[in-house]
Amino acid sequence: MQAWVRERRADEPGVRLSRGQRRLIVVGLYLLLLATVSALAGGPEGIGSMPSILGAGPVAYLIWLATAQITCFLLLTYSVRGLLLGNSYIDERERELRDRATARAYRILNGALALVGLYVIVAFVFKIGVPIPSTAQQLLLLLIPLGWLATSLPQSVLAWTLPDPEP
Amino acid sequence: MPDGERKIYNRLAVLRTEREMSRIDLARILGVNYQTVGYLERGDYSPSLELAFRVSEVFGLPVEAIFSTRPFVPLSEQVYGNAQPKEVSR
Repeated sequence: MQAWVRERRADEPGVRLSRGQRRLIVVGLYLLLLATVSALAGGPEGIGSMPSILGAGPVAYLIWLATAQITCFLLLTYSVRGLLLGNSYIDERERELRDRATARAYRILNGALALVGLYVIVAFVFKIGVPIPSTAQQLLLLLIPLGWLATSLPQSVLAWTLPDPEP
Repeated sequence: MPDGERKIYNRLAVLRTEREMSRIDLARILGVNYQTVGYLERGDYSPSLELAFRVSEVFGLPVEAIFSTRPFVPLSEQVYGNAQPKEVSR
């Protein structure tokens, strides 16, 4: 099985879609993530203010956001699929690219968490800015986009940085 | 290639063409992706010592005949010397 996958991988491009297309998907994914965070941060009280999709209400809006994000994520994974396989299925150059992207994603995530932490402290002390989650339920709901961010970052870094694939 | 890394020149494209191999053929023998062969040929990626030895085994040549830290002299120049191009009369 492993030998078969390795042989197939010699013919299959490791990277698909142009760099521009990949960057567009990355931007789309994180704009949708931002929209999800702002929708969830309001908590149950904020549900009333959420836009509705075809008159179906806030739940349909959240389902639409989730579906669009999953679509972006699958497209992103497809575009760099060749670099996300296990160590035994990819070659040394691809391993190097994947490891470098994972390290960069880790640094970006650290920076993002530090900024969020700083914002929460400033918002609490000075009582300024947009509403911050106050209940355990709201905080738990915000963990979903955070997990999503952590999962999608390595793919996003790869998709953003890799050049156009060869013909 | 990461900044500051020394470029490794190679004769992969010439050797592959001489043997009428496609990038996919060479990739299959080496056990790498065909895009990696392209990166190697352009000098955008420097191979590990292990991969360099595998390449030298495939072509039956010593490693230093395929890879170098200095640009290779073109084969035509090596064979015929540094001849200046002649003006062609029409």
